[in-house]
Amino acid sequence: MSQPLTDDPDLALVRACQAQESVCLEGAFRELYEAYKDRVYNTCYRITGSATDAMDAAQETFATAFRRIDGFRFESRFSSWIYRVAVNASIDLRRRSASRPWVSLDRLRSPLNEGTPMDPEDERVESPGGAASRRELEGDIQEAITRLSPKMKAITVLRYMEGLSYEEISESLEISLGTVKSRLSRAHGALDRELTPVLDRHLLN
Amino acid sequence: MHTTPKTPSHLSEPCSEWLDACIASLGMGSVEEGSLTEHLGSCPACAAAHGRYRNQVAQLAGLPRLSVPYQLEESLGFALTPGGRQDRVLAALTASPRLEAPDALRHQLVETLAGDFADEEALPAPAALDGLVEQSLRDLAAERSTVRVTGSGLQSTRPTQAAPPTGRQLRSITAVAAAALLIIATNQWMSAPEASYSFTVVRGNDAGPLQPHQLAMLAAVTGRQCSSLGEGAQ
Repeated sequence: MSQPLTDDPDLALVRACQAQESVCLEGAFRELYEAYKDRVYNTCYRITGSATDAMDAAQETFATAFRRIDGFRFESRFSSWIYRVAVNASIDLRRRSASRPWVSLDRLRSPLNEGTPMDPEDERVESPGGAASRRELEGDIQEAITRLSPKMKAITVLRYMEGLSYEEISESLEISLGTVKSRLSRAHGALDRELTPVLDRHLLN
Repeated sequence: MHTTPKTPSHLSEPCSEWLDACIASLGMGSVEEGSLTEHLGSCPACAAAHGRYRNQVAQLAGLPRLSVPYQLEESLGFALTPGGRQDRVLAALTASPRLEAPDALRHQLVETLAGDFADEEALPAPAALDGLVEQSLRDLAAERSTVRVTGSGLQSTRPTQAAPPTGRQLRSITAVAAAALLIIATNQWMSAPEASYSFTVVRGNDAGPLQPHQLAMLAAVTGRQCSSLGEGAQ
């Protein structure tokens, strides 16, 4: 792609970051961080399956963005680029975590327990048993995602949790539209095998 | 190692020529085309597969959005501080009002702590760093600690154990003295207006009292005169 994109919604903000001498999380870069922190963290969490690794991957994502933003030339959308960095950081971290001979103290807890604390509001509309059952289902689904291969995980998270279009996924993962389609087909096959028993167990099929 | 289960025989797969259209109709904002709808009405296999996929996608999309932990901003702030890791450790130490020491000995402390962090690794916030400094002092008489700091706190580098650890246990590798050093804080951290450390050494190592450089290190960090009182005394 030779011509820089001019319809990128983040164009002005990224240009402001490039023009400004940021020494830390301030100014235009702070705005960029605020705009993307939820998306980046959730992407990292769903791919790594661990809050600890998600923190590390998210930090690495924003540190990379901070270091390289001066060289960003809008050959793709900024959002596609930062998703790409987040996916790669998460996959790399997950690979390193899997090969470590030691265990993080945080891993001793269930990944789902590290997430949003239970909201007391939930208790008023849902019985404690219902809330627990839902959390168990969410944990089982996350486990199923974690068992997918890195490529399947990435495309599943970007498409169905981050809501990216085929074109955006193609840009983020630097693959053709045809590859997006074929990879999604394979992902559905894998999801069918992983999720069908889970949903059957929870009587949701 | 997990083995992906084979597709159970009772789960139908969609017709290959309709697979892409089936999948494209899923996800946020997707619209099912008329021709696909017509096909689903006449093909039980595709209808069943499409129903399953739709349910699975709904469950995936229904997973909760997680709140970003506040520690991310904190650790990112430190990670983005300019300079090498020693500069960043020094910056973090300088930011803490509790640590006053002559430059030469601060440099020694910085070197000791910075050696524990990989390049561009996250550094903890000042409050956690104080804990790390204190722990480093505890390790003066033992081996050097190996602690990896992650974005969410301290992480032990001990090998996987059969039973989970009951608390943070740090493995150390550099011997400064043979026996453990027991330090009792005589002031509460936050009670004094200047919030300074004060340590009373109650036990030296088996080989004798603390060495001068160890006392100097304590003095540098605490800003107080330190002496070794020998075993059992206080």
